[in-house]
This record gives sequence, C-alpha cells and structure tokens, in this order.
Amino acid sequence: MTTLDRTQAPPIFQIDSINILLPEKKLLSNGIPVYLVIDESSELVYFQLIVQGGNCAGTHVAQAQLHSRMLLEGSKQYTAEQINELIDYHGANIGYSSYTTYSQLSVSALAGHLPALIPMLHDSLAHATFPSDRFELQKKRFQQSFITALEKNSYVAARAFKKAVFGDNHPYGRLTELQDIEQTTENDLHDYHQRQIHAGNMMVVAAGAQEAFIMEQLERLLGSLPVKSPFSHHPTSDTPAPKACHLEGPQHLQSSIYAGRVLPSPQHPDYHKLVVTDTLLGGYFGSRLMQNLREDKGYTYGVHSYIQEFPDLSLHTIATEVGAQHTRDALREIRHELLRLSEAPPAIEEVHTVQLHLISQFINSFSNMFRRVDTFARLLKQGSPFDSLTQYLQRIRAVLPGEVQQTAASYFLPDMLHWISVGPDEQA
Amino acid sequence: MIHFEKFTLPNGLRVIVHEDHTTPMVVVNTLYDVGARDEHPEKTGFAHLFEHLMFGGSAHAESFDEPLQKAGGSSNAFTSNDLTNYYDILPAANIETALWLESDRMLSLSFKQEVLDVQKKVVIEEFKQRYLNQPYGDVWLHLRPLAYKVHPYRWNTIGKDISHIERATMDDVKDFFFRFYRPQQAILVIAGDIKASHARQLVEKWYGDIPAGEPYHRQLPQEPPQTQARFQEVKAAVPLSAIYKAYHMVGRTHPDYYATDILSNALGAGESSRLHKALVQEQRLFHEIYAYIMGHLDPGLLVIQGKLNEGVSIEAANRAIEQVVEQLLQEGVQARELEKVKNQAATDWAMGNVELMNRALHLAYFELLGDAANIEHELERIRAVSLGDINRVAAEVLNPNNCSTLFYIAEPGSEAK
Repeated sequence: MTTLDRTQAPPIFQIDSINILLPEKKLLSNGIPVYLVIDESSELVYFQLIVQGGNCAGTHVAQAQLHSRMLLEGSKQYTAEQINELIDYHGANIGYSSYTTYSQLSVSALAGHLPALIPMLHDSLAHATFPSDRFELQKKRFQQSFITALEKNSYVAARAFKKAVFGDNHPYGRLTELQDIEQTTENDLHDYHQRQIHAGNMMVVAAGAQEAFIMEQLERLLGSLPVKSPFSHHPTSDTPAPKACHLEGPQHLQSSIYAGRVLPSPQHPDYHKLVVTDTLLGGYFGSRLMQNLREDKGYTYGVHSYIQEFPDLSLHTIATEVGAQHTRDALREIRHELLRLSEAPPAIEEVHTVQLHLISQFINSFSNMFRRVDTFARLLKQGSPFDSLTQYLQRIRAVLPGEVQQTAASYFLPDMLHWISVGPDEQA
Repeated sequence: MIHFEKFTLPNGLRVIVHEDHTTPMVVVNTLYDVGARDEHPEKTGFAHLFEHLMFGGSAHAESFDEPLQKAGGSSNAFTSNDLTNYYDILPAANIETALWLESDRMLSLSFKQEVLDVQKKVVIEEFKQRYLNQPYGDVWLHLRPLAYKVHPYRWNTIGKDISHIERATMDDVKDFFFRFYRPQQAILVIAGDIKASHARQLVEKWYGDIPAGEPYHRQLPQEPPQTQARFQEVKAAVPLSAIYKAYHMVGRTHPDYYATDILSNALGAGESSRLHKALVQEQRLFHEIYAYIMGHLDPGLLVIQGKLNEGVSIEAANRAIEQVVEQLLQEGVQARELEKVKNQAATDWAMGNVELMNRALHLAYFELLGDAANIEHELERIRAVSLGDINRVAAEVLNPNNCSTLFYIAEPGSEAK
C-alpha cells in the first residue's frame, strides 16, 4: 500500500453531458396541457397547477393575493372547516398562492389519499364562494402579516427596490398596500375568479408512479372547467433611470442592501453569459461578493446575487444584510467588485469553478420527481421552451473569461444598477 | 426501503453507504456527536463557532470550499443543541475531492488566527441577523433559560452571551477540536451514485490513518422535574404580542416520544388542529398558533406558541390556550384525530425521504440514536401509538406545573437591544 499524499488534491472530472428525460405532454378533455413525470418507485403524487396572470391580473396586487388566500376557504359544497379537515385528515400538503405573473395550486399526497381530495379541490376551483366570515378573518390575518413584514428592513428594502427598478407603471412593480387589502370586497374576488380560474389559463406539471391514475384524477379535477380566452401580459418597456437612495428603516442593528437592474429574458443571446457572470459575482459560496464581504471583511452573514426570470425580462438582484456600522463599507465593496469584474477577465479556473457549480445545480434540479416538476414548471412560468434544457450545459460551458468581463462591462457597471439601502440614519 | 451497508473503521469511525443510482450525484454527510449541550457554561456558542471554523482550511488543504467548488460540489452545515452535521453534494465522479477535504479536516484543522478572527465577526453578524434584528428572534434567548435551570439546553446554539464568542481563543479552539472532532465521535454517510464496495475502499484510503483520539464520555447534568409553573414577561418592538408555553417532555429515544409528537400535532399542527380551530377561527384571539415538539436527544420540550390579534388581552389569550388544553385532557384525543395525525406522519415520512441529502442525514441520525437500521421501523412506531398512550402522556406533559410561560409583549418604540 502506498502512503497517502494529502497535499495532492484528487483529479477533477468535468461533466460533458447529462441525459434529461423531458416530460410527456398530454391534454385533458378541455385542452389543459399536462406535463407528466413518471417515477414508478414513488408512493407520492405531486402536481403544480399553474394559472397564468397572478398578481398582474388583479386590479391591484392585494386582489390576487386575497383571492389566493380565500380559494380554499369555502365552496358550494364544503365549508372552510371541512376543507381543512379533509386536507389534514388525508395528510396532504396543499397550497394556493399568487405570484407576480402566475398563481399556483400545489398538491402533494400519498397516491392512495388523492382521490378523496379531488371533489373538494374541484368544487373550490369551480364554485368558490368566498364566505364573508372567512373573508374578514383572512383579511385581518393578511393585514397583520403585512404589518409584521414591514417591521423588517429587508422587506422595506425589497419593496423600495422593486419600485425603483420597475417604476410606477410596470405591472411587475406593483406592491401590496394596506388600503388595497382593506378596500377589497367579496365581489372583487368573484370578479377575479371569473376572469382567471378557467381552462384557458391553466397548465399542469404532475408526477407520480402511474400515468393513467394521474390523468384520471386531473380529469376529475379540471376536465369540466370552462375555456375562456387566456390572460395576456401587457408589460411596458420603459423602466426608470438608475439611482441610489438610503431609507431609514425600522431596525437598527443591520442595514438591508438591494442593488440590481432589469435584464433581457432567457431567450436573449447574452442570457447564459449573464448567468455565469452573476454567479461568479455573487451566486455561490465562493463568489467574489461572498469572499469579500463575508469571508474577508466579516461585514455580513451572507450576500447573494441572483437572476429571476419573467416571461419577457429578467431581474438581477444583489441582496445582503450588513452590520449597520458597515453599511457604507459594504456598498463601497460591492461597487468595487462590480468594477473589478468589468476591468479584467477572471482567471480561467474561476470560470471553470462557476461553470461546474452551475452544471451541478442543473443536474440536481432533476434529481427526483419533485425537483423535476419544479424545474419544468419554472420553465413554463417563464415561457422558456423545454428544449432550452438540452442546450444549457453546452451554453454554460462555452462562456469565456473575456465574455464575463465584457458582460460585466455591458450590464453590471455600478451606475447601471439601482441601489437601495435601508437601516439606521446614514452615518456622517 | 432505504438500503444501506454499514461498517466501522479500526479508529472508530462509523460508516454507512446508501446506493442510489437514479442521480449522477453523491452526498457525503458527516455527523459529529457534539452540540451546544457539550459546551462549558462559560464558553457557550463554541460548537456553532466551530462549524464556521471547519470551513477555514485544514492540515493539508488551504481552503475547504474552493477545491470542493472546483469539483462541482457545494456544502453546508448546521449545529444543534445535540449535534453538528456537515454535508457535501457533488458529481459522483468527483467524490474523492469531498473525501480528501472531509478526512483532512477530521485529521486536523489549520488553526489560523485570521480565520478565527473573521469567523468570530461573521458569527456576531449571524447573531444579530437571526436573533436580534429579527422580530421575535430573541424569544429562545429568554425561553430556554426559563425552561431549563440545570441542563445545558438552557443556552442556545449561538451561545448564552455573545461575549463568549468574542473572547474565544485559539487554545479553546484546539482543545474543542481534539476533544470532539475525532473519528469515534463521527458518523460518515455516503449516499448516491456509487457502489458500496468502492465507497468502502475510498473511505479506508482517506480515513484509515486518522488517530482515534481519547473517547469522550458525556456526563451532562440532567434537568430535575419542574414542580411549579414558571412565568416571564418581556417587551419588544414587534407588531403583535405573543405567548410561548414550553412543557417538559421525554427525550428522543424514550418510548413515549412518538405519543408526545402525536399529541403536539393533535393540539396544534395544521388548520384543523384544536388550537387553530378554537383560537384562530372560532374565538379569533390569535393571528396564528402552533404546537410542536423539540426533537432533542435529552428530555426536550413540547411548545405551544401563538401571536395574538391586535387588541386582545394577553391574559385572556393565555387562559384560552389553557382551556383548550384542559378540554383535551378531559375528553382525551379522539380516534379520528389519531388517525389523521398518523396519516400526516406517513406523508411527512415519505416526503422527508425524497431528497438524497435527507436520506443521508436520516441514516446518520438514526445511527446516532443507536442503529441506522431503525430507520425502517420509524413509521411502525408512530403507527403503534394508541389513544391510551397519548392520553397518559398528555396528563403527564400538559400539567400546568410542568409549564414555562413567556409573555412577549408588543410595545411600539421599545428597542430590541
């Protein structure tokens, strides 16, 4: 036996290809597309029902959010109490939530328990009644959660950032407001429901052991819903000029910092370069921002940058919470890292690390049926075709260090970003 | 079924291999049998600080994360009152990178002063972010010392006082490492796209020469039974007042653990639970309310916690909780409730084992409890709980004299410090 040389790192193997099984597409009788992921070994069924529109389809954000909070609070044949009891009794995890561009019903349960839940779910989608007693309760809970969230610098900063990036007119920039919650009526919910909850707006991604069983259950759930014309987004293309501002926040120990900008959609030729550049900047533990602000300076417990994809654009965000006394230092160091990246190409090893990190994450996003459903659903929500997956690995690997620098110089110069900090009064 | 193979190296390292070839990834999970409960009362927060230091370079590897990331891996860790757990996930072809790094930091850390200095700062920021700068973040800083007077569960993983972290020296660090981070204190799980025989070869290669160290015999002061209700009141700048009630219960390996878990679920898990139905939906005193157990290894706590609706008197809200509890004691948990909670447990168990990483952690945890093979019996044990068990446990645990109550009162303008 040879002695072990611990000073030598083991060799590293790159990943050249991955075999992705795309979901099979089926249609329900009223045309709702169902994307199926089959895992014969699973006892569970999991599906996401995506309803296009989300917060954007409401007259204001609170309308869609209250609708989603009320959808499972009473229907023609079931009281809220019966609905809760059924869900809990069958050990199911069921949630309905509204996001910027879509709403989503998410259901997971042991397959044997699913059939008992379908009539209640169908009745909620087809005949939700929004009982006034429950509406008052949910409104109050929503208001209180909202007020609680406003006590956090990070929530105040996230709101200010959204407003800054999208401006007053863009539908993605709309915020929850207390008076909107108060003024929403039961009629508003019925109105939203009529416009939104129909087959024309729906898609499903589902997983489980047996295709026939899943299709049968989904047909019972959705097959009789009416078809209306689908929701369409009317985003404006003008976004405000970048600026920096500091707001005094409710908390004093730490400041919350947000910086970022609107970027092109995933269909844009620069998209994969942007992903690599963003990840190198702040998208993993070894990123430049994390190394500088956390590991080198100890200003923060964590700093992250990420890209969120919407149907027609992406949003780039850098976010962190730093010790209040380090607010200015942290802002300076973030700017410094942005400039540094635009001035010189990163070492090839650093780019390789980022690429392999992204590819590992990508592989991981297919590692079980839940993740596969989430991954395919994410693409559907952002309007990207599934075949973009088969090219992802090659496109990420093709990005060169010079292109990272170029991308940083074209998209991520400090003056191109909106900057929001929320914390104690800015130090002199 | 979660298949696995198990063996022990001569230096005491316990190893479990779980093959799963449906993903090209592999998880390397290392559980160290040391948590905040093992800390000296004047040096608290150490197990957690240590978790940070474990990423600051080891005997032969300057950095932990950098080589792991180069191999397409990522890692993280957590510290609890009972244990410290590290996990790496990476493409199976690169597993040796993880074994090299994990075995090297088990062999010895690099003990660099600058790493200690920076990580002390990071932990202090973490303390602010998670405990002080968070509405309700400091609740457990009050509740633990109220419920525990003797057992080291009386402090949090972040530490009793942040000055303990500020004062930490390199000698403290070395002492802690060589006492607790030895092979016989560790359980290594390798899970994913690898053959068990190959995994074994690699583990023998990378871990075989690490010295066993001195065995650690845990002797913790045990908490005496609580005989009188305890009460504390604090004020904080939060929007809604809150009530926390903590009842002493058995430890993780006691046969009554499962009955206590089911009891807490019947009381306060989900919208159809007793507390939620009575106090959120019917009486509308609470904005939200839950009951759950802390899965501590030593005797733990069953906790009821709720945030009050604005304008509700905290005394009235507390009485209302007590009434729900009394009603449960009088009429007992019902057969349908028991069935419901068991159905929920079956789903949770199936869901909890979907992720490879969770399966690896569960195997390590069950091995720590005594035997990884018991993972197969977990659901049976939950299913075996009878109404008689639950109602007996309820009478013991939900005794008012066994309870510590914290009133967390919203007072606009008072500053969390």
